[in-house]
Amino acid sequence: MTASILIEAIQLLIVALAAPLLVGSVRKLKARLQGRRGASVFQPYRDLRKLLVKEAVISENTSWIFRFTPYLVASVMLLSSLVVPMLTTRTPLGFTGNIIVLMYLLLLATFFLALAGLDAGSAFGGMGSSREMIIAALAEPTVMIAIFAIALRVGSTSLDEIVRRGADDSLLLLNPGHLLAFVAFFIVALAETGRLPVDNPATHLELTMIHEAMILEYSGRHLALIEWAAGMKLFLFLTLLSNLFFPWGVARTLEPLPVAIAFAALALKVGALAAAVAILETSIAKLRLFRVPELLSGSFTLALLAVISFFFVR
Amino acid sequence: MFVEIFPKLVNLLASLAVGTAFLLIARRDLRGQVRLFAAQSFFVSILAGVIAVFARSAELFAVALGLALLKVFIIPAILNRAVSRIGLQRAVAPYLGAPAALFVSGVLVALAFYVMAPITASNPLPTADAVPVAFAGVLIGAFITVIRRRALTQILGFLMLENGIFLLALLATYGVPFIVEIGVFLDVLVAVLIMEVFIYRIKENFDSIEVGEMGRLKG
Amino acid sequence: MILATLLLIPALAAGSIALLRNRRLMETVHALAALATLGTGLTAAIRVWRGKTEIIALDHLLRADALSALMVTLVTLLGAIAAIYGLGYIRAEFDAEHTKQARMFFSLSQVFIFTMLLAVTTDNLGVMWVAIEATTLATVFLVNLHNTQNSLEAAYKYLILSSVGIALAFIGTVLMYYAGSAGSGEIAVNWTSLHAAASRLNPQVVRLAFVFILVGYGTKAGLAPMHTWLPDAHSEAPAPISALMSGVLLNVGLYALVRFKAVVDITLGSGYSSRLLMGIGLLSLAVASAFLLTQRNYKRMLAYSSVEHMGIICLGLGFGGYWGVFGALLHVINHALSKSLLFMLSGNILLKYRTTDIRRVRGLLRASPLTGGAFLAGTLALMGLPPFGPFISEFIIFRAGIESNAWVAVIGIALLVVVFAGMLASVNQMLYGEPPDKLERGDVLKWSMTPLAVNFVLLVALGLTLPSALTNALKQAIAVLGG
Repeated sequence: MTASILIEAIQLLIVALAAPLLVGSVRKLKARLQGRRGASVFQPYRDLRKLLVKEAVISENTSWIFRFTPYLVASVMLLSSLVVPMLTTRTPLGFTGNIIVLMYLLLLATFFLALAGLDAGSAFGGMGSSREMIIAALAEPTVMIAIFAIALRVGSTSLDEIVRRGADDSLLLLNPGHLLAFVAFFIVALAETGRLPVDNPATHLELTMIHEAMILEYSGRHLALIEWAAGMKLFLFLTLLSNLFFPWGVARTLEPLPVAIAFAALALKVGALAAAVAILETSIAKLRLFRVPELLSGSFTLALLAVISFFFVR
Repeated sequence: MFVEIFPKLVNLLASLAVGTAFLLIARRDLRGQVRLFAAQSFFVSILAGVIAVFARSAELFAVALGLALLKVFIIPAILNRAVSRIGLQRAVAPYLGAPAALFVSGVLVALAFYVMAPITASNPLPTADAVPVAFAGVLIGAFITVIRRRALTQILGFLMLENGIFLLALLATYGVPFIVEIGVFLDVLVAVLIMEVFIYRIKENFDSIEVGEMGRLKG
Repeated sequence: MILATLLLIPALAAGSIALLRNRRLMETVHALAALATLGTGLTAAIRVWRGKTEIIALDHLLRADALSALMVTLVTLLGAIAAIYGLGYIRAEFDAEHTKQARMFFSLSQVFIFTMLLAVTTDNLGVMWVAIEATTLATVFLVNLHNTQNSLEAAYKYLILSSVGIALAFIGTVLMYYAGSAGSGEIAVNWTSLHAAASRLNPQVVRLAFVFILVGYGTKAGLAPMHTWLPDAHSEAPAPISALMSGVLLNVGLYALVRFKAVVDITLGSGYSSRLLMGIGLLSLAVASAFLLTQRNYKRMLAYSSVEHMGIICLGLGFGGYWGVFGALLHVINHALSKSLLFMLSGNILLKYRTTDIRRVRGLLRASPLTGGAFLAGTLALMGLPPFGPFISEFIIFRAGIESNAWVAVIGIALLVVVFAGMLASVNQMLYGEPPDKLERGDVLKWSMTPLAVNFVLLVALGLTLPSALTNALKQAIAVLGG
C-alpha cells in the first residue's frame, strides 16, 4: 500500500518537475538544429520563477472563470499524471485509468482555456479560442478512433491493460494497424499540444498564433500556471505515446529495481520523442490555418485504417 | 523465427507501400510526388526480395532487383527530368480536395478487403492476408488518376496502380512467370517514356500540364 | 515456324522503315510487308482450318487454333487493305516536308499489326496481356499524328484510360493464374493449361477474376461504360488507323475476353458470363444509340457505331448456344469489313471537305460520286440492311436471342431502330443537297480506293450466301470456345 502511494507520488513529481525541463530541452535542441546556441535547458524554470513573483494583472471585465481557469488547468494535468501508466502497469488509481476518461479530462482543460480566452472580451482571445476549438473539434474524432484501434486489439480501454498486453506482444511493431494508430495519434498530439505544423509555440504573430492568442491576457502567477500546465500536457502526451505504442521497460511490479529501469526507459523514450518533435519542428513550416483540416483529416483516415486493419489483417 | 515474422513483415511492407499512396493524395509539389513513388517502389521491391528469400526463388530475386532498378531509379529519374523541363507550375487544387479524397481512399481500403475476401479465404500462402492491401493500392492509384488535374500526377497514379498490381501478383502467387514479368516491365518503361513525351506536348500545346485545360472533345 | 514468320515480317518491316530516309522506299517496304503478312496469315489460317488442327511454336509460347486463325485472317486482311489505302492517304496528308510523320506512320502501323498478331497467336495469357497493352502504346502516337490540341487530348485520354483499364485485366489474369495454380499445383499461365484445369478452379475466385477481365478487356473492346476514350481516339486518328482500330483492335479486345469466357464457362456454367455480357452489351447499345441520335461529327458517328456493334456482338455471346456464338463471330467479320470500309472513306471525305462536321458536308453524292456511293452502301450495311453481311449476322444473333432471352433481344432490337434513325438522318444530310460552291467535283484518292472493293465484294457476298468453308471455320472456332 505504501509502495503504491509512493509510486503515485513519484509519478506526480516527475510530471510536475520534469515538464519545464522537457520544454527547455525541446527548445534547446531546436535552437541547436537551427544553428543557434539557445537558452539553457533550465530556462523554463527561471521563467516560471520570474512569473510567479510578478504581479498578476486581471482585466476588470473578466468573471471568475478567468481566475479559476489556471488552477483548474494545472490541477487537471496533475490529476492526469496519476492515472497514466508511467512507471508501472499497477498504478493504484489504475481502475480509473481509462483512456477515454483521460482524454476527456484533458479536453476539460482545453474547454476552460477557451472560455477564459473569451472571457476578457479582447479580439485576440476570442480568435485564439475559436481556432483552438476548431482544432480540438477536428482532432476529437481522430483521438477516439485511434483509441478504438488500440482498444480493439487489447479488448479493453484500461490504460494499464493496454500497456501490459502490448509489452507481451514481441511483434507489436510489425503490426501495420499499430503503426497507423501511432502516426495518427502523434499528429493529434502535436495539434493538441500546440506544436508545429498546427501551431507555433514560439510565435506571437497575430495572424498565426492560436494557443498563445488565447492566453494573451494572462500574466504573473496565472500565466506561470498555464505555461507549466502546457508543459505537463506535452509531457503527458509524450508519455502516453511512448508507453501505449512502445510499451517496453514499464515495470510489472512495484519492486525498486524494475521501477528504476522503468524510470530510465521512460526518460529514454520521452527524450527520443521530444527529439523527434524538435527535428520535425525544424524541418517543416507551419501549415496555413485552412490546411490544418487537411492534416487532421489525414490523421483521421490513418486512424480509421488502423481500425479497419484490426478487422482484416491478422 | 523468420517463418513467424514473415507474414507480419509482409503485411507491414505492403501497408507501407499503400501508405505512400495516401501521402501522394495529400502531396502537392511534383518532386515530392515523384519521391513518394520511388519510396513506394522501394518498399515493393524490398517486399519482393523478402518473399524471394522466403520462397528460395532466384528468379523472383532477379525480378525484385529489376523492379528496384526500374522503378526506384530509372522511372523517377525520367519523371524528374520531366519536372525540370516543364518548370514551375501554378498550384492547382485537385478535382477533389485532400480531406475528402483521403476519406474516400479509406473507404476504398475497406472495399478492397470486401472484394478480395474470396482470395484471402482460399489462399494457403502466408502472404495471402496482405492481398487486399495490395488491391487497395490498385484502387487508390486508379482513384488518383481520376481526381488529379496534372498530367504528371495522373501518371504517378497510374504507376502506383501498376505497383499495386505487381504487389497483388506477388502476394497471391509469389509472382507471375518470369517472361510475363519482363514483358510487363518493358511495357511500363515504354508507357512512361511515351507519357513523358505527352507531358511535353501537352505543355507545348496548352501551356500548362493541367489536363482540365483539355475538354474540347465531347459527345 | 509459320507463326514465327508471321510475327517476324511486321517486326522487321517496322524496324527497317524506322531506318529508311527515302519516302518511296518506305512505302514499298510497308506495302510489301503488309502483303507478305497477309499471305503468311492466310496460309497459316487455312492450314489450321483444313487440318482441323492447331499450330504450336516456340515451346508453347505461340499457338494458333481455329479462333486465332479467324483473328489472324481479319488482322492481316484488313491490315493489308489499310496499308495499300494508306499509301495514297498519307501522301495526300503529309507532303515531302513531313517525311518524319510519314515514317512514324508506316513504322508504327507495322508495330501495331505485330502487337495485334502476337496477341491473337500467343498461348500465354500474360504475353497476350503484354501484347494488348502494347497495341495501345503503338497506336497512341498514331492517334496524335497531327499533333493538334484535339488529337493530343484524344491520345492522352486514350493512353491513360486504356492503360488503367487494361491494368485491371492484368489483375483478372493474375487471379485466374492464381485460381489455376491453387487448384492443381503449378501451372503455366497458358490458356491451354488453364482450360484443361478449368473444372477444378475455385469458383469464387474465377467469378471475381472474370469481372476484372470484363472491365479490363472491355475497355479495350470499347464497351460502355468504359468506352469514353473510343470516340475521341477513333475520330482523331488518321483514316487508315481509325479503320484498323475500329475494325480490328476492338475485336482483339473481345478476343481476349472470349478466351477467358471459355474457361469461366467451364468452371461456373455459362449463366454467369452470359448475364454480364448481355448487360454490358445492352448498355453499350443504349449509350451508342443515345449519342448517335445527336451526332454532328461523322468520324465520331462511326466510332459510336463501333460501340453499338461491339454491344451487339456481346449480346450474341451472351445469348450463347451454337447460333448465338456463330452470329457473334460472323458479326465480328461483317463489322470489321464494313467499319474499316467506312473509316477509310471518311478519310476521303475529310480530304475533300477538310471538315469532320456533318452539317458542313453537303452533296457528297454529287461532289464525289464514287466515295459517296460507297459511303452510302457501307452505311446501309452497317445499319443491318440486306443485301449486306451484317443483316445476316444480326438476324442470326437476335434469332438466337428471341429463343433464349426474349426480352433482352426485344430491347436490343428497339435500340437498333433508334440507331438506324439517328445514322440515317446524319448520312442523308451528308449525301444530298448542294455541295459547297468552291468545291471541285470528282473523287480524291480514286486509285487508293481500289482495295476497298475487297471489303465491298465480301460484304455483299456474305449478305447473299454463307460459304461452307466459312461455316466450317466458324464451327471450329465455336468448338474451341466449347460451344
